[in-house]
Amino acid sequence: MNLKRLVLIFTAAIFLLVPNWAFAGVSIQVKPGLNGLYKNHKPVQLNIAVYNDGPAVKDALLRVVADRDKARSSSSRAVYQRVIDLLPKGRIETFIIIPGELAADQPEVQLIAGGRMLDSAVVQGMAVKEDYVVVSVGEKPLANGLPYWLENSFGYNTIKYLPPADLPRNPIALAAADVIIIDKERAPQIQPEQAKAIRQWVALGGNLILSGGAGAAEGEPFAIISPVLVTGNTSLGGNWNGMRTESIPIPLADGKFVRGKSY
Amino acid sequence: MLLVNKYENSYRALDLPSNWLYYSPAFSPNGRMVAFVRQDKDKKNNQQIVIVPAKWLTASKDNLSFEVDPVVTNNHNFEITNLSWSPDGSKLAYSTIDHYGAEKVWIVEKGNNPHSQMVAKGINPTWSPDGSRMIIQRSGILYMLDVKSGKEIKLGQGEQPVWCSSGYIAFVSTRQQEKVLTFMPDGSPQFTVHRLVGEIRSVYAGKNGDLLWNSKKDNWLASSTMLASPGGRSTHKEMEWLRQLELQGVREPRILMLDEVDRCHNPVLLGDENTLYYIHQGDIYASLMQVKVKEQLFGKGEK
Repeated sequence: MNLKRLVLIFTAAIFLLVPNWAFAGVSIQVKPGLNGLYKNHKPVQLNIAVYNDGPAVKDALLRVVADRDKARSSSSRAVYQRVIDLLPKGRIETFIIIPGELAADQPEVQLIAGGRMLDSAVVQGMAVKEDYVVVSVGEKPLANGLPYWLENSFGYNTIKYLPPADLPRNPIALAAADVIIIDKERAPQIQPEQAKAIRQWVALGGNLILSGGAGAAEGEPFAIISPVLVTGNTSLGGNWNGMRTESIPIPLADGKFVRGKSY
Repeated sequence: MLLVNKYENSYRALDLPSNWLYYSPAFSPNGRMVAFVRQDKDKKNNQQIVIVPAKWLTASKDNLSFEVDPVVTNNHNFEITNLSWSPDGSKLAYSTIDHYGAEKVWIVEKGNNPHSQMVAKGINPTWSPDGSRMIIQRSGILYMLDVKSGKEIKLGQGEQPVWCSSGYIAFVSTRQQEKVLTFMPDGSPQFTVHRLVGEIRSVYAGKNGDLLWNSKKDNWLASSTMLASPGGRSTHKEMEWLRQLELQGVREPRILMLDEVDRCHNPVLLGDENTLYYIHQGDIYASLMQVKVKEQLFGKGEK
């Protein structure tokens, strides 16, 4: 018996000897879009976390099954899938991008290994059809009049607060948002990969509002796309020729106009 | 009443005498007659079942007196509903609901001296394709009834059954749905909605229902097939709730209990056309939906 044959037999034995308990502690969690919010006519990133309490599992298959009911099972061939390795007693995060229409039909994400389904989870979340989706990274922009200004400017909109840590690292995952507002105090918590995804999303047509000049000073992540290079802070008081009734000064970013057009 | 053209996806309101209110229209199997319930606008407790030629519905109101003898007259405080023609067009089944909520299914034979006979407790009768059996609904459960003997068997949970000529039964199944709208950073639910959803399912019963009559099915819903479902699309109410929570700065988990039903209902399954029609009732609209269905083999085997 040569070495090659030995290796083959050994591999087969491993498959046969993996006991049921080896898969006992595997579970998956699925978060579509931006913490659940997505658009049903755009690609949706399913953020999938896999928890494994047992030994390592190699070549497990994650797949999105279009319909759980047998009525349409012939069309439920898994088109969206990926192979993952599960760490022993560990947690991994991965993603699969699917069409928003499919996500809105609440498909099932299944994890399969050794011919058995280890766990499954139905894709939930909120599908937004035509409304503007405004994502606020930070609480402050939501507390002032900005949402109402947005409603007047863009019509009815859906607003979602997102902590900086939950910002995706992939511009496609940001497709659910029409407008992203970044709070100045939260901007330093945005990681370089997240900032890059936002810049790419802007290049693809996204509307970015840098509240108080968030991240737009020299060397900061949005300085290279911001029309104004922020150089400092100022405030604006007065009643603006009757446009304001309050007299409390508003803090503003001060800076130099560096690109784009001003009207 | 609206008359819908299924080929052109258009509809028009029928120009009927305005001294009546109209409910529960049902075309006869050959399409030539229409039975419906009408109620005198001025008399509260006066409902009638009348049968008129279908072409009358599209005639001008001026030429239309609707002076026809009712097949059934109800002078009590009953609500008449759910008219269903027998396959040969000789009988009409219907249900009544009295002011105590008691539901009864009746059969009336067409003819010169129509006489109604109560056949069972329940509502929403539908005939088997051979006319020997019916399916009725009682307290959210479907039963199959042998018309001649009056014997019945329990099928399982369901509403608004329709037994189509090809032998399939379509019905509405309502269930409680929990939908997570948004998630916490750790993946646990943040804002969740509980609501009732109605989906349309089907089972094959054959022309006389023997397949179900002779089998002991305790897994009724599991053996059925889903034909239509409202899906996971968000309603206006859910979106407005989410928006308010976001603006108020609520970050901890919350649950919204919706008492309305987002549902598909009133199915009509046309076996010869392989088409399902149903109403999709959302929170601010209702739509008549048309779906092409097809029969498919799922597996082969000895048994």
